Amino acid sequence: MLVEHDRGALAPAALEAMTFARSLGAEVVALTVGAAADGLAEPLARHGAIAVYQAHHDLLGDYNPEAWGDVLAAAVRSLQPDFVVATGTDVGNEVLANAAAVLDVPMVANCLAVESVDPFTVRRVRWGGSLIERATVDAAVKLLTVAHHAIEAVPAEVAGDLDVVAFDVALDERVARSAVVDRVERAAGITLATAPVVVSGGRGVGSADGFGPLEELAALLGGVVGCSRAVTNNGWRNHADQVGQTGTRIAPSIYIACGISGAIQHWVGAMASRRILAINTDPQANMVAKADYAVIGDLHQVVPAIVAEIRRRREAAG
Amino acid sequence: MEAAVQIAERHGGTTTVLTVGPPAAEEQLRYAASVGVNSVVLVPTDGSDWDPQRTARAIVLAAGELEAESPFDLIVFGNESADAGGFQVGVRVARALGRPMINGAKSLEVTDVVATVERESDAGRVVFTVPLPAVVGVKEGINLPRYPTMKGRLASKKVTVTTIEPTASAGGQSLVTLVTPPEVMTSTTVLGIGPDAAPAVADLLTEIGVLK
Repeated sequence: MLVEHDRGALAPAALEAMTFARSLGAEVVALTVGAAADGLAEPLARHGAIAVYQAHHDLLGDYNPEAWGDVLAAAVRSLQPDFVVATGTDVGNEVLANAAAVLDVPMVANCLAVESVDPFTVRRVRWGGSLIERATVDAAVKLLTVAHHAIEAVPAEVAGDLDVVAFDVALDERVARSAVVDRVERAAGITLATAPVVVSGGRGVGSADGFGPLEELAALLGGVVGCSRAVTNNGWRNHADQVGQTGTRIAPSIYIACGISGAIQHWVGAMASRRILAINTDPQANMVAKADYAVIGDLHQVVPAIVAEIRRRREAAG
Repeated sequence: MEAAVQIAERHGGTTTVLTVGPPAAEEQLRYAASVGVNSVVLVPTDGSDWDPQRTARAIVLAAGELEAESPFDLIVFGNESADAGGFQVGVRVARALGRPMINGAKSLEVTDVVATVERESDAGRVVFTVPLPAVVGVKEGINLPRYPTMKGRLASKKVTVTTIEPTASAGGQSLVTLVTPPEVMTSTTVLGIGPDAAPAVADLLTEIGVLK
């Protein structure tokens, strides 16, 4: 199991991948890359790792897809595992692809489950989740990434003692070329991908200015504003705010979709939301049919009314 | 395609688009020519689903033929294919060619010697600077692709589609079937009609703990 982390901070998807790895029925050995990740042994043990291999090298200070891929390939050659599991994220898919290329073995991205062992068959995500592929994998070692948000991370029932092993690895100096050279940290703490509440607008919002009430509602709930592809195509908001197959996959406690019809490409970005509230004039809209809750009406009236109601209650509560 | 055409416009040079696909993919290649791509190459398949290893092997062989005349400074891939979503063909090609590869680019700038790539992370933006020749995978949203001009449309009719048929062996992943995910049968609770629904919405937000 390749452990995704950002300079020592464990990626939430990594624990989902740990849960998937345990479900394969084998013992799970974790590989952390870089000394910054040495502190992750404890949470990995809690999630069922029996050992953690800690790769250290001067070239492993920050993320580097080429170096991480080489480390993982070296670990596979040395440990000869049956499976290699990584996160189905930018980083996880990238590192596993690098290792797969070095080892010249298949890699199956964004798996949902293993369906059978012989022939080895997985279910995986296609078209961003609107289709499921059943695929066989013919290889001595199976490299799999786990679709993000598809599995709930569950700690192991019994967290055993964990062997901590220093994994010395030789790296070609040339890999230094692929290292992160700079980071531009976002000012605010919450992002579309991690927000507990996402208030999104679609074509029905009608203009860039029309997002004002949605911004207000999101701010009152400690959330962020998202949008559908129609909105970015019209230039009302940046692509960075787009929820969907080619935008951001979200997983908030509640997704409030205002004036969004719910095309499949949008739905696959929103479907991991715990609850969905659709606000739409059309009771037959896809988004309304797929939502847990709906308000049938014009978002331009409904959203300001919700904002006013929340303000009224807060004032009443003092 | 748009990223490649913009770079060639800014810095000089030429662009070549290559696709692996059935003969019908020629239409996409002609579209590429209509938005300013200089030459187009088809690596034909029989229409069956090629696994990522086979696709990558074919591209590496085709690139070898194309680079016999003049090597590419930069090879641009999509971050992943919309349909198969393998997230690996570009990386495999880069590794086979011995070049660095950064995927997920939301910004791509080049000089004569390096490509600077920015991509998004949960915390913000991450910047890489890789020496040319390099391989970069770009994400949707990196730019707004242009539409063909009348001049471009005429050029696309005349462009020669070069066909390269490398012998690429299959890899270890095989498609068995495609299935539609089970429809989530949600019974939607209608909280109300119009602005009168606001108290019910506030109740719900309080109940699930997002309104404190």
